[in-house]
Parts: sequence; C-alpha cells; structure tokens
Amino acid sequence: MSGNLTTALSRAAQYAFITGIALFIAIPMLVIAVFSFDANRFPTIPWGGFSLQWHEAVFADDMIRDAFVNSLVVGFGTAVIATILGFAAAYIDYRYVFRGKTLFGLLVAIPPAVPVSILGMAMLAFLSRIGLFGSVEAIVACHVAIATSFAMAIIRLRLGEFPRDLEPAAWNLGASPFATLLTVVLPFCKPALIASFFLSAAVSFDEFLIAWFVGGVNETLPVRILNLLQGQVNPKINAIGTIVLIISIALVLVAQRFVGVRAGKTSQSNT
Amino acid sequence: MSNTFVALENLDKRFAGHHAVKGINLDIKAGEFIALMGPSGCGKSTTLRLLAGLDEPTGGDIFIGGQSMRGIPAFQRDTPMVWQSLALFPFLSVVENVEFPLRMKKVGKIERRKRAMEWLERLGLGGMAERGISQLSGGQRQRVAIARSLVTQPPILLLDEPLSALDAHLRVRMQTELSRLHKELGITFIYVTHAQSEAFALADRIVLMADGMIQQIGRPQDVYREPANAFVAEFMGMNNIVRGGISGRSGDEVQIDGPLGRFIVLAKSNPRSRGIASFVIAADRVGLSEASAQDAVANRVNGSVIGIEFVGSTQTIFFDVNGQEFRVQKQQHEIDALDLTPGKRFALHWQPQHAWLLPEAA
Amino acid sequence: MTAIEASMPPAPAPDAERGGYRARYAASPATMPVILGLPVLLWQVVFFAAPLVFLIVVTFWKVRSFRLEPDFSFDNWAKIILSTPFQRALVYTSEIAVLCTALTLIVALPAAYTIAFRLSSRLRDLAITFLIVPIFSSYMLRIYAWQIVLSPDGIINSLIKMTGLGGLPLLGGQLSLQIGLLTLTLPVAILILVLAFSGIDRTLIEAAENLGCRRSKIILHVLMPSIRNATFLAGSTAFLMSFGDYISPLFMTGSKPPTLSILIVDTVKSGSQWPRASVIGVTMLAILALVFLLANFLGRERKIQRRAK
Repeated sequence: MSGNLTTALSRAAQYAFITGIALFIAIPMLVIAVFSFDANRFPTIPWGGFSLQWHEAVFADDMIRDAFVNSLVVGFGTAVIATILGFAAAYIDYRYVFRGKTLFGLLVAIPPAVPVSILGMAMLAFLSRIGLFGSVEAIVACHVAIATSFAMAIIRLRLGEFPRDLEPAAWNLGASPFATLLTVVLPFCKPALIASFFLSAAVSFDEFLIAWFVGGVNETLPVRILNLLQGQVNPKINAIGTIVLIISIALVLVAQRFVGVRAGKTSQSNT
Repeated sequence: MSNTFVALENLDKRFAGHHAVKGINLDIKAGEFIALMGPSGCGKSTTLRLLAGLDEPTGGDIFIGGQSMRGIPAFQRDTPMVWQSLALFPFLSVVENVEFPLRMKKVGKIERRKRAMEWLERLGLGGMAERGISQLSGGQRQRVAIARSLVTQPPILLLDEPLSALDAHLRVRMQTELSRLHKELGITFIYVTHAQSEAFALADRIVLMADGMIQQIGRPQDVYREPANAFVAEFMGMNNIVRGGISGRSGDEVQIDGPLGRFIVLAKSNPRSRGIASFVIAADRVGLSEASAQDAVANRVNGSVIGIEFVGSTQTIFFDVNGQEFRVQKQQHEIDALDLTPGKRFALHWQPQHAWLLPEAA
Repeated sequence: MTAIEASMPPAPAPDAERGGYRARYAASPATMPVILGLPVLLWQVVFFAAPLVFLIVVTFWKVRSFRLEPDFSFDNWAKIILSTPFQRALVYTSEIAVLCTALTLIVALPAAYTIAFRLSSRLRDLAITFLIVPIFSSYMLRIYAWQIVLSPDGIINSLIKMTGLGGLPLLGGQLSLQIGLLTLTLPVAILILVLAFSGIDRTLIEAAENLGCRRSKIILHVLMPSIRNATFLAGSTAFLMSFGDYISPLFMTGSKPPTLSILIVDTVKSGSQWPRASVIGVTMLAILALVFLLANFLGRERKIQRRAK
C-alpha cells in the first residue's frame, strides 16, 4: 500500500542522511591517511602512485621527533595527574556535602567550555607573570586543568553505580576511611580510572593552542603541525597527520571501551 | 547484671527534622540472640547503625564489653554486620571477600587465607573460593556475607534484615543455619527484622520498637501473649482489643464494661481496679458457636461474618461485632462444618484466663 | 572556612552537633576530604581561575615601552570596543556562530532521531563510538584535510574539471567555513541528542501510538518536548564552539574576515598588546556567559511551570 511505500522511502532517506553524515565525519581522516602515501606533493586526483617517502621524511625530521617526544611526555604527565585529581574531585562530589560544593564543581567542570584561544592567552599572561612560562611543565599544568574535567566526569559516572553500602561495610569490617579508599573505592573505579587516563592523554595529545601559547620553544606535535601549516602545503603533514590520527583514535577507543557509553532504555530492556 | 555485654544508655539520635531514636535503654547479655523488631521507621535500623558506629548518637552512650563507644569510630569497633544488601565486594573473589577483615587487621597472607577457607568450608562453600560474587546464588552470597562477618571471631554479630531478599524456603533454611551458628559460637547476635516469624524462630528476647522508643522487651512468647500496650498487641499478633472501663474487681477477676458488653478478665499480674482499660483476646483463642439470643454469658459477643482470609492451613475469619472488626483464627478442619457466608451471625466467646488486661490505659 | 561535614549518601541531611556531644565518630574525619580536595582546588585555582581573573585585571593595565604595567584605566576598553575592526569581528563572529548553530541543529536533530530509533542497538553503539572519536582527535588536521579537498587544485575540483566544467571556488567563503565549523560541532551535538532521545521512556511513545497518534504527531508532541533541555544544550554548545573557534576561520577563509579568536591570537603575536587582547577575550567570555544563561533559562522554563502547579 502507499503507506508502506512512503514509509520505506522515508526510511531510505533517513539511512542515506546518516550515511552522508558519517561520510562527512570520515572523509577528512580518510583523505589524510590515504594521501600520506601519495607520491604527489599535493594530494589530488589523479593519484600519484604509492610512496612511503613522506612517512620516511617525517621519521627523519628532528624537530618533528622532538615535538613527538614532547607530546608523549606531556600527554603521559597530563594523564597521570588529571586522573588523580579527577578521582579526588569525583570522590569528594560523591561523598561529601559542604558549603561551596557548587563552586568547587564549577571550577573543575568549566575549563573545557572556555574557548581555547582565550584560555591559552590567559594562561600565557599569567604564567609568564609568575615566571612559569615556556616549559613542558607549564603545558602539562594547563592541560591538566582542562583534562581533569573529563576525568572527573568519567569517574563520577562510575561512582554513581557504586553500591552505597560498600563503604560503610568496609569501615564496619575494620577498614579506616583511607584504607577503604585504597582497597574498595579505587578497585571499583578501575575501569573509569583507565578510561580517564586514556582520554586525558587524548585531550592533551590533541591540544595545540594552549601548547602553542604556553610552550614557548618547547613544541608539542600539534604545535609543530600548526607551524608547518602556516607555511605552504606540506606533504609531510599528511604523514604526521596519519600517525597522529591513529594515536588519537586509539587512545579514544581504548578509553571508550572502559567507559561503555550506552544508549537506549527501551521498555523491554531491564538494565 | 554482670552478664551484660552490650548496654544502651539513654541512646538518642536526631536527624535534621526526624527524631529517630528517643533515649532508649537496653541491656543485652553475652551470648544472647536479640531481635530488634518494629514497623518501618521505628528506629531499629538506626539503633543497629549506632551500635556499629556508622552514625554518631546525639545523646546517651553505648557500652560494649563494659567499654564506652564514645569517640570510637566504626572501623575500630569489633561489631561486624551482615547487611541487607549483603555489600559484598564485586571486584574481589569469594575468598578474598571473606579475607577482607583479616587483611584490615594486617593478618599475614597465608594465615588469613587459611582462616577464610576454614569458614567457607564450615558454611559449605569450600569449592566456591575462587569464584566471583556474581556467579553465586542468593543463598550462597548470603553465606559469604556471614562468613566475612565472622572470620575475625568477633564477640558480637549485627544483622540488618539479612534474609529479607531471599525467597521463602531459602529464608527458612538460612534461619536454621543462623540459629545453629549462634549456638555453636555462643556470641551475641543482634538481629533487626520486621518479620515476626523470624524473630520468633530465632530470638531469645525480642525488643519491640515503635516511633523511636522501646515498646516492650521480653521473650517471644511473653511479648506475644502478654503485650505491654495496645501497639504491641496489634503488631505482634492477630489480636483483638476490647475497650471499656473497669466496673469491679474481686481477687484476680476484673470486670470490664464497654460498648461491646460486659467481660471478665483474669489479671494476676495487673493490680488495677479502676478506670479505663483494654484487654486483648488473641484471635486463635476465640471460639465460635451458633448465635442464640438468650445468653448473657460473659466473654461473649455476637458478630456477623465479613469475610475469610486463607493463609495456608490457618484461616482468619473477620467478623463485624457492633461496628468493630473482630478476627478469629482457626485451623481449616475446625471450620469445615460451619457455614461462613458473609452476614451470617455467630457467637464469639473465650475464657477469662485467655484475655489479657493491658497494663496501660487504651 | 567551609564547614565540611561528612555525610553518607544518600543519608538525610548532615547531622548538626547537638548540645556539646562532640564525639569524633571518624567514620569520616574531616582530614580526608581536605587531603583529597585541596590539591584539585589549588590546581584549578592556580592554572584556571587565576589566569582568567588576571585576564580581567589586565584589561585595565597599560603597556609602556613593551612592558606591562599595572594601572587602572578604561583606555583599553574604549579603544577596543569603539574600534571598527573589533566591532566588525564581533558582528561577523556572532553571525557565523548563529548560522553554525542553526545548521548544526537542523542536521543533528534528524540524524540523532534516526540513530536513536531506527538503528539496531549494535549499530547504535557503533554510531556513538563513531561520534565520540572525532571529538577528541585532531580537529586541526581534519580542517587541513578539508582545505585540501576543497582547494582549487583539490579533489573535488579535480573531479569537476574532469567532467569538463570549470572549477568552483569552494574554499575561502562561508561554505567552507561552515563545513569546518560543522566538523567541530556536529559530533558533539548529535551525541547529546542521541543520548537524549535514547533516554526517553519508550512507554510514552507506545502509549501515544496506542492512542492512535501518527508518527509525525508523536514526533511533534511527545519527542520534541522531551528533549527540549538537550536541544538547548546542544545548541549552546554549538554556539560556544563556533563562536570561539580559531582554526576554521584561519584555514578555511584565510582569516579574512577575522573572527574574534583570530584577533586575539594576532594581537598577541604582534607584540605585547596584552590588555587589548584581554579586552577581546573578556568580551567574548561575557557574551558566551550571557548566551549560556539565556539558553539555560529558556530551557528551564518548563520545569518551573511544572513545579508551580
């Protein structure tokens, strides 16, 4: 009947629509990856033949290597500190009620909402004023301020599933509040801690404006890319880009695996 | 006196806007099995938490083994609790769960594994040691929780409605196990429940609470047959309460006149001879016979059937006695011959010694 | 001094100390929350709050011989706010942000609906992963990729030229800019809406169907109101991101015309005109805060009405 036809058509249109969006999201990444192996200097059609030269050039480039190492160091440092601070903030939010709790929560949650250009500039001005500018540590410090927000959100989500009797049960069985934190709360939060670690690393690894503002001569990889991009189109960028994309995506996928964002509460499911 | 192991002294707990425990006093002997009973919100769980140190009293004190618990935090008391939700640690295996208290006491690895395994064997869970909690049945998890609480050989065990999540036949089995454990260990058990049958089956003494106060303390049969007030009478059993005024007394026989008629109550322990009074007649002590107009026998009322409730082999028949609901409990075979259609009138009667004069005015 | 009282969730409100009975039943001593909370608090204050406060302070300072000097003058404010480049950039940035927000919602709402209701749960989980990944990976590189694709010598134009038609000027205009901004905002917006759609109680929809509502009516009267808050959230997030973005305007339109973020970066790059750059930054923050509060207020209205009943 015509009803079925129009339903089928509208369904087809809907699927086509989201396929289009998926392509829209995927095309940039595919372009970078594919053309990093293109022998042509400028990525276009027709394809110039398969070549590994740009990847080789990237590995040979000292500045890029240094920037890469910086990115790893900064990323790792950020991940560790942000996870610790994020856990502390999440646990406090879960467990305690006190005056100023809303303000505390805001301080941790707001940073990602502030445009990075403004934040970068503010951090640069402030840090140079107190003499902390231009170091890898400074970049880590600023990245942590942002990544902690994500870490806290992830861990707080996990704590929302924490059976409320577990902590008092632990105290009741002889565990001091501190011992309880170590032996009960932390193990329970393990998946969230892992997810926070990887996501914080991804956030830091991807971040460029603050690193550019605050790092001075210490370039992280995205900053190096940014500087390269200011010049002409550089085929090395595709190669770096491929590597960066792979790392970024891997970090996010690992994080996501440990969080398990789920959608869907149908009337049939009983979660 | 000197046998008292746990003492609550004017124990009081106020939350913002809710007075949960109102200055209660209680002495518990070493090795006793005490049931804290009462309707929701009566303060029994709060009292248990105060004993465990999970909340601070707002007044009064708790003495365990003669020592005041003031200033002693939960993790420094030896008052392990079996939780209603069991509160087993999902990230630890069965044996690791049981080991936990020993681990907190810094007992060595080998020693604590040994003791934990002993307890698992004792409760029939020897083969489950390495399993995860989620792989166990409800009854098995229950036993892990119990093992975990007892592994440190505590002098006292607290239980917060531990069996309420189990289904009926499992509950009865666990009750038997708990009773057996109590006898074997000889330690003090303090057991919170709202199920009368559990309290009756397990407890040496029952502490009935309502509205933050202790209504009565006593052996199960005493609290059941000799309630201290109307609340206890109604909560504990299928009881009928008849109100009136004392119109005379000769010896142990008290005469009560009320809207339902004149009644004789044998009150050995209650010296009252005047004033407003109520007495209790248990539903299973009321006899039924044909209604006939001419009796002026005391301890008898006429009522018409409202309905019947079947609970297994026991039937509860509801009567309308002059506007008051009367309940009569009979075994099925006792009423087979009777015609209990609604509206049918019967005579309900009982013996004076089965009626219990309530100590307080109604 | 904040009164840190330990409370066990979800217990009733924290106990007040009553008449002198001050036993420290350290089920939770106050030391622990302080040990846990202080590092986080300090870190966020030093590396987030202080810089922003400093930013506001700096807007009143002067620059003399390339050095920043404390002062209290409204010079910088006057110079910037009254300057034409700033005003133009302000208007332009607001325009593109509004356009981007509108486009984002137009695309995201049907997309989220399809994902939430028309996909199997496995596909739906896949879709969510597919949305989360780009949010955290290399926005800058993806814009660069679009630049390549859209450029006059790029892939699309090469394809077009192969068919014999002349090339299209895809880069440099509003089209490429919006493509860039959408790359930024779409994943987040769709994700928010998918989660919102998924959270709707299906029994509501089934009940409506039961009562004979057609699909379009259900969408209009049951679904849309339920996700009202999420829509406002998605919209304000899209506005926030596009308003403050630096990369897309830079690469897609070559900073012509400049957005406010580009103004900031340029002002900083060209020497120590901190106070001026700070004014731009603070103004942007103020506008964003206003927009967010407005969206919050509009989104909340329903709730207030319900409570008043």
